[in-house]
Amino acid sequence: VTAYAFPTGAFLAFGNKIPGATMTLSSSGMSSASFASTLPISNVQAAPLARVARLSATAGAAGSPYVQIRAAFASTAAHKIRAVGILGHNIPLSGADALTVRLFATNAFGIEQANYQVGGIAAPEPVFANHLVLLLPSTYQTGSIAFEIPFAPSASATYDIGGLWASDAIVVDAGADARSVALSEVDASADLRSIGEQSYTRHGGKLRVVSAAFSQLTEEQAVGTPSSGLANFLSVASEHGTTSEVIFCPTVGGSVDAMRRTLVHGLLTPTGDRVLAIRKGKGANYSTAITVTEER
Amino acid sequence: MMQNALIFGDAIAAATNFVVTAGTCANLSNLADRRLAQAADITMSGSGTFSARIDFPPMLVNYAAALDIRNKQVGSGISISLSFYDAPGGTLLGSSSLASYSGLPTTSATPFTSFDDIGDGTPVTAGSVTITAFGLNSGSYSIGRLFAGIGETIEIAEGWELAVRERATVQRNRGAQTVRRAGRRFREISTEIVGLDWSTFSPAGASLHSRLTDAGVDPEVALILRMETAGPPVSKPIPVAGIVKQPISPRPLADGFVSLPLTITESL
Repeated sequence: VTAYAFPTGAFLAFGNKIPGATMTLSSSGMSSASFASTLPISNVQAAPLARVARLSATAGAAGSPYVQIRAAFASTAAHKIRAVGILGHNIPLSGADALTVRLFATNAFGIEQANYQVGGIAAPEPVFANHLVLLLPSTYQTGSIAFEIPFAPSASATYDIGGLWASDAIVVDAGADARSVALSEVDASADLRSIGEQSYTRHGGKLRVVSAAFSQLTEEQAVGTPSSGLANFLSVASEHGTTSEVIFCPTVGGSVDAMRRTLVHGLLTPTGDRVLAIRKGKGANYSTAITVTEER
Repeated sequence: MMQNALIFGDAIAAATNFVVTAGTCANLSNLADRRLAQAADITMSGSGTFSARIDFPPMLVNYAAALDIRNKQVGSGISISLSFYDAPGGTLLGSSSLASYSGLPTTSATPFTSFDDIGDGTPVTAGSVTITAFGLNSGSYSIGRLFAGIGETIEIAEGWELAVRERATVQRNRGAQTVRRAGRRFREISTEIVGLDWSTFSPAGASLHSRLTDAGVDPEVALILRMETAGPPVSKPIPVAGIVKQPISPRPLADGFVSLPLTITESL
């Protein structure tokens, strides 16, 4: 397998293909592997239910046992995949634990196009949502994906599988383009007082808001050229607007830590009724700013 | 050569008759309605030909544009041309070779756009147009919008802003989490036409200023923006067909020149 190296740069992933996929469980060398019946595998496909899909598995005594959570896309038409990940999971990936993502050319898990393995990374701090999103080095035309969790012989474990993600992404080069990144945590809880002057708290949503301004974007990144077919900010705003989930990471920073601290899974947040605005300066020089809000 | 252009008075939107003469097309008449335009689909089988005739009341035209053509299948390709006649089955007045593209990689590829003058760009009084599409590969396409009218090339400021706006409904559920329901989305371009002098605002009916003012809230105007970087010309311009924001307020500059701020709002 290919060891995954966290790239630098920023990315915006949009149009998750997992909700439309057929989900199955596959395993090798395991004595048992199943999802809890009340917390089934299909929960990973629905954002409101993600983080409550529970996998319990026990490995056989020998060999290299593993469990695969498999997503097969709806038709034989390949889908463009650039970002894959598990959102809000509790799989330990420190030490010998690892997650391998395998991409296949057809939706029958036939020819393997690529695989990337992440492991040996520090356990996340509780304050950050445990999102692990791999920005692939290039875009793949993919028919199916397997998320593979290896087990040590005879080991047994129960994992909460968060939401799964697989989609295309806009990738912006490191440093040169990302400007004025702002991270904020918003607690919308209200501290109220009753008539008897006793205080009580009404819990509101906790929000994580990440915004970033990008300058020096190319024409392709800003408004797109169909000859490349690459994703661009204009088409994401036009086709997905503020009502479709996105993943935004203003800097991957070459490490899992930078990604964990800045990556959010949420909705594009409009300014007034503007999803976003793209400005052109002199020559082929474009800029835009986006804000994404994640609700906990 | 690609230039910035404004096209006024859409003949296709005024069309009265739609006839498919070869090949398959679902909902051809949707081309005349901006709210339905993305749902006029043609299906090409291999290198087949699709053609259709669209009749409209006699109207002056010198530019035509195809806006937001989308392929619906991986790897498909298409070539589109329009031929203008003085009447259905009448004399050919001029043709416009609109778009040619092959190998669009996915269904979600950026739509492509092309515009062209009709013949040598001299206005002709046409009453009928024939659309011909050659399939470069098998596939299904949404034609998007066809636009034909009186156009002129313009010079615009180097900077412009293109915003995507959305009227989404925002609610909160019991868990106090935001629920957003998709609303109508529209693009809005704000720019400035430069290099004008006061003759542009002469009282003659054909002046740019009077055309923009007459456009009012309807009919639509198409603005085609030339792009900066090199590439296949058919893929380059950004089109915005929509309503001109009024009032149109010219700004006098030094040396007798005038600039004209322009905002066009489009429904997606």
